[in-house]
Amino acid sequence: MTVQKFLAIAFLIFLLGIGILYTGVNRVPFRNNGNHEHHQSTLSTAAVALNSSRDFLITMLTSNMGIISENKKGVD
Amino acid sequence: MKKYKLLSWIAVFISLFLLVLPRLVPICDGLTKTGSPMTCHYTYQAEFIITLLAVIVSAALLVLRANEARLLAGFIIILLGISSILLPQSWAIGICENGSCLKTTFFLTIGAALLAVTGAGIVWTAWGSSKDS
Repeated sequence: MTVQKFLAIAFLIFLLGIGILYTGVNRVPFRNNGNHEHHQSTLSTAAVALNSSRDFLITMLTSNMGIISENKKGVD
Repeated sequence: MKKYKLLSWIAVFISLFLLVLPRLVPICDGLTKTGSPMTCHYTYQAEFIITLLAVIVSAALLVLRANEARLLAGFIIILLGISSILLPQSWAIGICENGSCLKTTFFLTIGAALLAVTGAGIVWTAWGSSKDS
């Protein structure tokens, strides 16, 4: 292949690349909602905080229950 | 000469890998509260143009015959590799602190570093050949 032929093909490939960039084929499409923050979750920050604190409370309660029942056994 | 051909093909494959990287390991697909894309989007748009140039210059290595032209092409590949590494830095364009963006940037940094090393290898080979002639 001659350099002249290569340059012509390279220019076409470059134009094709710019077209791909313009149409957005080079990346994954955006999600449509515009009110999300810097994380992958679809929940809002408040909802995440509520869920995590609820999970924490459940874990604490269940672990305490285990301790209480073991203590009761010890007393009995 | 065989070493030069091998390095040229390696540069072509690394450039193609970097070109399709945001499809293989996607960056975050969210928008800001105002509805505009985040910084990482612009970084990877710029990366696409740089890697497209890297593909063209790497492919040119297979066509070029003169040693000086090969030397220059190898040197440009080094510069493109370094530019690819620098774009995601916060003082250049930057990325968001999302996990997926960091993952893409990790693979990008490795690929671009390999591309720069390959470019250095091409310069080394062409340099040696030009001294011989």
